[in-house]
Amino acid sequence: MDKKPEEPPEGVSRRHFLKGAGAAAAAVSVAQLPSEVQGSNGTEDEPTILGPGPVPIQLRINGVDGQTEAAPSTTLLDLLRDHQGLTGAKRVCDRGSCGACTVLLDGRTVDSCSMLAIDAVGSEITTVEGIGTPENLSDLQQAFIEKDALQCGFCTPGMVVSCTALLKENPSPDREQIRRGISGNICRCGTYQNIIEAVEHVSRKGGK
Amino acid sequence: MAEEITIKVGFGDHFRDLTVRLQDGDIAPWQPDQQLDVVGKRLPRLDAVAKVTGTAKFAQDQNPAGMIHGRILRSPHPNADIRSVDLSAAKAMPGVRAVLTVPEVFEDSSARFAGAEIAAIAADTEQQADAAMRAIQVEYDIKDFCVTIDTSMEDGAPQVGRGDQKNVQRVSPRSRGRRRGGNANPGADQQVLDRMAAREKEVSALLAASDVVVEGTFRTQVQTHAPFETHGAVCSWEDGQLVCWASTQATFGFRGELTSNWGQVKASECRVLSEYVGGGFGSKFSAGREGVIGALLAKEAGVPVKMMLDRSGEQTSAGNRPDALQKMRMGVNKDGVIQALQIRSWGTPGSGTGGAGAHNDGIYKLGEVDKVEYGVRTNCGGARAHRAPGWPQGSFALEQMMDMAAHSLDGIDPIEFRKKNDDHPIRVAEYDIAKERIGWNKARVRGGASNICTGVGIASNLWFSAGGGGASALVRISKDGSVEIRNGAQDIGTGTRTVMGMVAAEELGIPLDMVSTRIGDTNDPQGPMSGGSTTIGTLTPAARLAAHYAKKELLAVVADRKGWDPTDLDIRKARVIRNDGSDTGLSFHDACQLMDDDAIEVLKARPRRNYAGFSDTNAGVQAAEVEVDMETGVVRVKKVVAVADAGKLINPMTAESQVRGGVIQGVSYALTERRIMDRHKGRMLNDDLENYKILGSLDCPEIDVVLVDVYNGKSNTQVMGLGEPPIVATAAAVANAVADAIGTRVFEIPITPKKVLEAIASKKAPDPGGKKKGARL
Amino acid sequence: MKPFKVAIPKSVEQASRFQKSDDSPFIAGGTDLLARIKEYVVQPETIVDLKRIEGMTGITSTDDGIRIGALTTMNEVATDGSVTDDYPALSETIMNAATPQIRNMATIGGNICQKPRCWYLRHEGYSCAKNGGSGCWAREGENEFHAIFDNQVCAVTSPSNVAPVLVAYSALIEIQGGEEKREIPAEDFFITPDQDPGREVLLEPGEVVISIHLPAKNRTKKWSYTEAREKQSFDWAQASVTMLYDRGGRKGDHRVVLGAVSPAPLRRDDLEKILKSGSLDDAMIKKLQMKIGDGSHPLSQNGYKVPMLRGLIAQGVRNISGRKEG
Repeated sequence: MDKKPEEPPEGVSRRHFLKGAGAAAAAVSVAQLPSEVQGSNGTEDEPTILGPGPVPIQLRINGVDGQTEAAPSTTLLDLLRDHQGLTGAKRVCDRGSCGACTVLLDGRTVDSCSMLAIDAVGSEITTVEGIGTPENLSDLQQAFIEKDALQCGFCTPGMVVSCTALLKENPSPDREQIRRGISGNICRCGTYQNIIEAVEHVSRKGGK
Repeated sequence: MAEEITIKVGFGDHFRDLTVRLQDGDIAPWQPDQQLDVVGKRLPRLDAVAKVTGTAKFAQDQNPAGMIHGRILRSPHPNADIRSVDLSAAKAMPGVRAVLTVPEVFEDSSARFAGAEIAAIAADTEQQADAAMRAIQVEYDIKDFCVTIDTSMEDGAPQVGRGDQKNVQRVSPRSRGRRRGGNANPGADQQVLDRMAAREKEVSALLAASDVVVEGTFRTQVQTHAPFETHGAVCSWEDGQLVCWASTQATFGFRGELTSNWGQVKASECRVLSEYVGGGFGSKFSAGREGVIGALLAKEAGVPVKMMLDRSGEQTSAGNRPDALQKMRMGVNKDGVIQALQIRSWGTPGSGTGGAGAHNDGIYKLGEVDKVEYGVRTNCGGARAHRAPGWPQGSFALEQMMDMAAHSLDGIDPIEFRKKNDDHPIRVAEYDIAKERIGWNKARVRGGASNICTGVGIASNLWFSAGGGGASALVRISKDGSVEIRNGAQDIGTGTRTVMGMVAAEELGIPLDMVSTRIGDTNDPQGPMSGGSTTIGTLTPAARLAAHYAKKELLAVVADRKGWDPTDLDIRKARVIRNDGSDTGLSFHDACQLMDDDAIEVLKARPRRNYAGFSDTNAGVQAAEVEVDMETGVVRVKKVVAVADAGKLINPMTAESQVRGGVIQGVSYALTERRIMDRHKGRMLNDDLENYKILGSLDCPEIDVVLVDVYNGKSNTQVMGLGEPPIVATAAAVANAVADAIGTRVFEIPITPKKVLEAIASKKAPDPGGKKKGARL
Repeated sequence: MKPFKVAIPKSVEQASRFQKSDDSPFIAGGTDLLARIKEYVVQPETIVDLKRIEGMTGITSTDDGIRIGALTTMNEVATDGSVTDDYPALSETIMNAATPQIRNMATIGGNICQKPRCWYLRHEGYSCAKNGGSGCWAREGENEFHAIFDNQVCAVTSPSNVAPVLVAYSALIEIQGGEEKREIPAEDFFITPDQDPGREVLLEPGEVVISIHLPAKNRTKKWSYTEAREKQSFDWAQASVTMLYDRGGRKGDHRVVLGAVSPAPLRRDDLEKILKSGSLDDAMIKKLQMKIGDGSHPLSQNGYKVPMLRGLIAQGVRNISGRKEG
């Protein structure tokens, strides 16, 4: 068995030759994703190729349409934090293990670190900033405050997003369902019980 | 001039009078019969709104204009010397603005763990920084390595350190004449060796004379802090002044490192900003190499640099709770009194020289103790203080010994046995609370048709967190009625900001929402680091004093304008009142309007010393209930009762959160967390949050917190911190509960399904023959 | 992460043709591939994003069962009424897997094609039989979570906990390469390292999983999926046992498939035969437990998986005997 330290395996090196026209067309087409791509299903010979440099990406975030330039390899999390200034979602594990980057994609929770921003084109993205503001807190955010469902606060935005989705799907979850609902969000400070109490509190009050 | 007063100290039914000579300018602690309006209330944290809306800006969230990104190249080798670092290719990469090497900056050419810093670069984008980092060429002189205690202790093991550093070195009793980081002076050390030999002889004799001797070997694992926000800072030089938005639990310490003449940065001025910190748990006291690197890269680049660790860097290089191997023998007499304890323990500080000790000879009256402790170097990331350093490891061993001793004395209940050997004035009352609330005497489920067995276990803790000198607070009452309190210390999630505000509000006689708080800025008055659970014990007496004297000044203004007697005035519920409680008709707001100046500002330091008080220590007892699947080995902790005291409780809600957090981290330590090192290449294989397993919501037990409010008289707020004590006993209580459930003991954490299945299998296997006198579960 | 290009094909044919010429990895949910790119374990110049291809999502009823589009998310599969009613073991196993977020992102096609979780394979700088080198680091290394069966060449475990359930239902994996489509039984789809150490599934260059077909004839109300792991919130199974009893109401048509103990789901026809030989009682449990470790070659740290499997199969038998008819 080979036990000597060695160089990492070579990455895929076979280049795919891009036709100039294809690349140029791509930059235009992405703004219209997905309709452009779906609309031309099967009619073109080659896939649309994006990147590796920045391309325009049009996203609907917290109810507002906007366009930004980013490499197609940009994750949704990095686009939100670095291009949109929405720093509520946090980069913690960056591998989909901890849930600190949770946002809603068409109402469902996703780890924004583990998907490409371009795959969110055409979807409704909701970040913690879109759930409530300091002046207009959601019932759940209010309950988090009252039940002290946070400590350092770094996992809190992700937790708020997960609990919001949970309550939307099931307005009166039992404890086990709440535990399951937040099982993709780790809290290092250990606020789980307070979070469960906050969700129960909202559920009892019939809020969201 | 020192004033002598008599105060009541104690708790519950245990109060007594105590005469206290107040230090200059200090004021009397709150008394049990005193009506308090803010202190003792369950109030939401002041930073909660910012945190639940995602508007709280942590260091990681700072993006000053022009900011670029730093990256640290780390050694892939666990034990190597750096021959050369060639930056030329990296420098030529797109977007690169600054580079440095560790051998040049830190004068350290050794990489003694996989993950050790080698060089750093800053580039316009993260991708460019990544690419440039990977273009750095390093030549290593690669050496053999040890990544576990056991391999490092073997004869002929590769040397972990450098020079004459030995892999295994006695750390307690301390060697005499020991050079820093080096070995003992043989001549001076002989005296210590002689004393150790005498001690060993004495304790061996006591053990031989004891009615029962139990012994055990216990292992605890390396636990990483894994704060959610990684270490690091965003560093910016503005007109020669260094500004760092840092993720730190010591703003002033961070600044001190960067301004020190002995440091690498030597900034003439430095401001550290840490309004929000995403956890620390003991790992963020130092600016660390990443902080220094960030500052230097920013200086070279001429633009702000974000230098936050990635998760792998965090897991490998930013500290951990060291592992421990503890061997114990305990002698007990039939009356249940412990006679003697012999301890040999080994722990690894990693590649550094940090502490590796297990606090395993405290908490109880243990008779005569013979303890020798060794530090064992390994080619792993260095240990750092981690939430109650040394205590959870020590408790894991000692508390199981306590149970084993109780079982070996026929008929003695583990709780009764502990009480017999415990004289803590608060804890003696806490046992019964834990016992009742966990259902100590209820019938256990014992397999049968089901595959589940249940068990309960108990363990104790102890802490010392009344704080001390080293904090000042500034209170400003403005003419418009607004009130601000400032201290430059940080709040790492413990609720320091809120508690500071509550103490000031109480003293000023106004509700909390009338007080604004400013923290986490070294331009504000000196504050403590978040360490030793002493933050609020240190900070709040200063806050109360500053508020007290600001109020006095305000009342002096009122008395002057109104022609009233200033000694007859006070403020309560935002009204100016007389000593008999009657309202003067003047609101706090109106009182402020009477000022000539724009504001009253009072800066007060905390008295340097604490008073004798009721107890120097805060205690605690925890009981755990577990459910073990005997067929798969899966352990579920169903419930933990945590009885804790923390002096006078300022905010029971945030105090409860601290206890719950400690318990959860303790259960996580007991069941799932551990660093896994690869024997082949000496790297950490689980440098992530997937295979480094932190307890999640489905694993979290119900936690029943019982707080004992103690008027301990140690300071004018009588507060003791509560960050660390609640983690001390948890793993031990869980381990005792598992032993109760499965009828055999798992001597090593984490208690994984594998270890439970192995323990059950070895119980079923034929007994190799009782080798220990009276040693039973 | 090294920036890459993203190819967005409009059809499976296009994706297939492009990938075959270029050897670029496919991305669907992204939860597996992006992590490996971030770790520099793979450094593709281009990835082929399947997400925009139409007609590959959703669950449709067919004459002989259901067909699950490969891009259907794990959550959609697990909560679909036809799955929860007719293929409950599939729903159960998915709800035990990963996290709510990942189940919303990951696709079932991606799940069965994901790379193993071996920490050597997922760390840069460990070349082994699976990624172009030779040998296996885990066999003599840190192997607590590795395979105890079929581990001589490479000790990874199959990471998909859906895979054993698909094998138990005798699912068919529908594959398209170019314009050609074919169906492979799940049992043949997942392969072991001695068949080909570089692959975990029988996909040729350019081939895409387009759907999974669950045959109605193998439905049963007598089923069990049991697994054990260290942590209940997001963790990987250390061992699992899937049991289908009297499939399609056919007496004696049982399936026993072990998961997380071998590089591919491990169907155990020897245990199925034992199941056939008697009723679901304690004696049966004993017989199964005696046998379940047969053929295993535990490594230095993973011998516990044998008693763990014994526990899981006991629980499986009790689960099935406890389920009501119909």
